[in-house]
Amino acid sequence: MNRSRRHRQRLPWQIVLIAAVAAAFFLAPFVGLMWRTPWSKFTDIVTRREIRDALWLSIETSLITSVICCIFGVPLAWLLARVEFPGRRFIRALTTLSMVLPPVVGGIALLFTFGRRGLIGQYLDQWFGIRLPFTMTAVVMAQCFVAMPFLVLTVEAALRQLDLRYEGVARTLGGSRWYVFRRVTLPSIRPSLFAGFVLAWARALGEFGATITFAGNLPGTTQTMPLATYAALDSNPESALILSLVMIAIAFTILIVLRDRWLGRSDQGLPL
Amino acid sequence: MTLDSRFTLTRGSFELNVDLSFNEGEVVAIMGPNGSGKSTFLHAIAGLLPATSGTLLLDGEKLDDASTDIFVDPTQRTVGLVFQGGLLFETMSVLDNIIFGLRARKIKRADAVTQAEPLISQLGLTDLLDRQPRELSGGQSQRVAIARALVTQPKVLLLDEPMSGLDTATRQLIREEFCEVLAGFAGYRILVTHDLEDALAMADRIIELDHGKVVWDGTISEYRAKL
Repeated sequence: MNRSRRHRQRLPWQIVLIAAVAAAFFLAPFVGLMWRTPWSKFTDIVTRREIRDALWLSIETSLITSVICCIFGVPLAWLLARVEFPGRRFIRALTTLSMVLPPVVGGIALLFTFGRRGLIGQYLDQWFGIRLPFTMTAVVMAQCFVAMPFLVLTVEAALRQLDLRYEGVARTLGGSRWYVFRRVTLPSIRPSLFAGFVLAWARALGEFGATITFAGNLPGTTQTMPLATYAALDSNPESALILSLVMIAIAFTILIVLRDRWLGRSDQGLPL
Repeated sequence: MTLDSRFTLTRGSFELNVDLSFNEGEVVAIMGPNGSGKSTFLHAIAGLLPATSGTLLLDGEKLDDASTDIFVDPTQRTVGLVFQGGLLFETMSVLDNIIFGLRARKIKRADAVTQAEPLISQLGLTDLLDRQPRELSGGQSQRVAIARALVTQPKVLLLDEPMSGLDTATRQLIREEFCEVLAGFAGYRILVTHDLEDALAMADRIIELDHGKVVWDGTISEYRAKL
């Protein structure tokens, strides 16, 4: 008791006040949302077919995206962290560009590259008859474009923090580069890999701009939850409110559960 | 049989320049202040850093020759490395740490365990095999690290500040153990340390490095005479 009282006296009220304003700023919109939500129609709207489709599509594509981000992002992160090559800084900047870019710009870029008349898309169409825009593949591509940087950055930071001598010892013990990567490096960065996976997933789940530009807004095929929410805002604002709440609930659950379990407990500080 | 290192290794503005020959069976302590190039030298022997010019020969076989692009991979060098703190692989049990070198050579797990058995009992590690590295004391970690390095029967044993970070009592204990292990190992033994006591207790010969250059090379008795 004594301890906590002493700490309380020392808390700088100016900082607490400003922090409270910031917290309220985050909280207020959710309260506003919930205040206007037509709770009586909740079950009815959530169980509608197009909503179920959108929810399922969102979960499916975002999970596929996260797996793809791991498969391609981990080697890229390793290369950026471990190998010095000309243009490394350029590649790193390029990799993280889509974090800064408005997603809709990414969508336009994807469209003009993989669209039917795009740089690569025209040959995909001519040679293989593959048309990417307005397909589920396009949804995944758009999500990968915006989500992969989160995984690459997280994993690269972990690799940089890892003592190089571990890999050195493993090499002198006869481990090939691949063996060492698999048995020593990868297990050591597992928590960060998981954190990167979750961040990429969260980003993919909320993806809107690149998806609607490159994959369109076709219910059942490319209409993910954020798109369905936006579409509903015009025609049926009540649905939009409820869909928003569902997305908030999903994101909030993920953040709370994962923060404690995998992203490291860091709840330490002054008792209030 | 000798280990001959006549090479220059440049890293940024630092240059290590050595002309040293090691005899099989002798324990050599390499001393010097921080940044003198002690660890860089060990890394070069282990094949973790390539020489910029010159050669490195083990029993007449070229391990590194900058002029002909010969560079034997660390996996092929038969070198055992032990670092300060042991640097055990944290995500593996003690047993998996010890047999890592055998498993990396595609030896089946059961066979690897059998093969490592004599070394495990010699170092008194039998009761620790299921533990995780974080559950070990400093001295225990160091013993596991030695077992891990010796299990592949290397020709060269490199110890990089193996006793740093241990308290005085443990240090004394480990030093005795190290002396025993080193005595039982027939190949080349190179110990990097900044502690004169360690060097005097364990080595036959002392080499001092400073700013990447050899400033002293002689036997223990010669070194004592200098003090």
